Amino acid sequence: MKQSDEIWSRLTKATRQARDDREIEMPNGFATRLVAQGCRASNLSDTLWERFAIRMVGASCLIALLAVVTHFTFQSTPPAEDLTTAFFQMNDAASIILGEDSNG
Amino acid sequence: MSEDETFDLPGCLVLVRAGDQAAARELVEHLYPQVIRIIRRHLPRRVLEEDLAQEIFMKMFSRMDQYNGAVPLPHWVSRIAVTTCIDHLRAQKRRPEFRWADLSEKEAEVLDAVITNEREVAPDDALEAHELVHKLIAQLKPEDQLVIRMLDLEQRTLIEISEYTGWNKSLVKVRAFRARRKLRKLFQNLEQKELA
Repeated sequence: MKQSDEIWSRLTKATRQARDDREIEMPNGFATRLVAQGCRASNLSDTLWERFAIRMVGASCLIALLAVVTHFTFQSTPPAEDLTTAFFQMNDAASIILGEDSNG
Repeated sequence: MSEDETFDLPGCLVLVRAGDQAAARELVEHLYPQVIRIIRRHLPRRVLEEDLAQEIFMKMFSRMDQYNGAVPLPHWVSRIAVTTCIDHLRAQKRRPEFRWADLSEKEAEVLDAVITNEREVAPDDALEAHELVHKLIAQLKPEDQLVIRMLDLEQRTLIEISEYTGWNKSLVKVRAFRARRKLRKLFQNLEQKELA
């Protein structure tokens, strides 16, 4: 274990002596490109959000319209005048089986 | 007076937040050397540092609203850079086992000399030692790589690493311990293969 640590220590000591002589130079137009790209990305996300919002407004209007139409369609079905009439209008199951005419 | 001292960072930040593109360009120019140094320290030479720098700056601008000034802006940016480097290291596939065959002839010679002799590495071999150390470090987990680089190569203190990465001191210690244990294991394996 001690030997491994010594090997590592010798290697890292030598590594620290190796100098990185690469220059730090920003490529031409790097900042301009980057900022332009950032603005484009920001605009794009804004546009996407706007598009989404407009579509959602359209969809909610459509749903509201459908709800209103459905509501009035069900309401326009004529209700039975009273319960007794409704009862006598119904076909009698027993008379159907016996072959009798329920209306006659 | 250096450029760092004359640059009005708080003023620039206000303008950037207001959407001033010229200020954003100035901020990029100001922070570029710091970002590149971080990339070079933590990633191998073959990595396209310009692409990575671009990714880091894009993250910086997109998260600018989250910056509350609790830490200096360069520290905050360095944390973004460190996280991006870790993500990049994670994306690279590690070899399951470190082998002599992974080393160049000169690197193998240096390692052999270090294992068998008790001498220091010759100054002429510093570059090979550098490559060798980076290949060995590449065997560690990305977070452990970062800690061991900062501790053993940059000789930073635990507090500095903690500030730089945003990890607490105990976590840094645990990662350093884990990294050293793995390195010991690597050397043991290499020694065994050398003897065999």
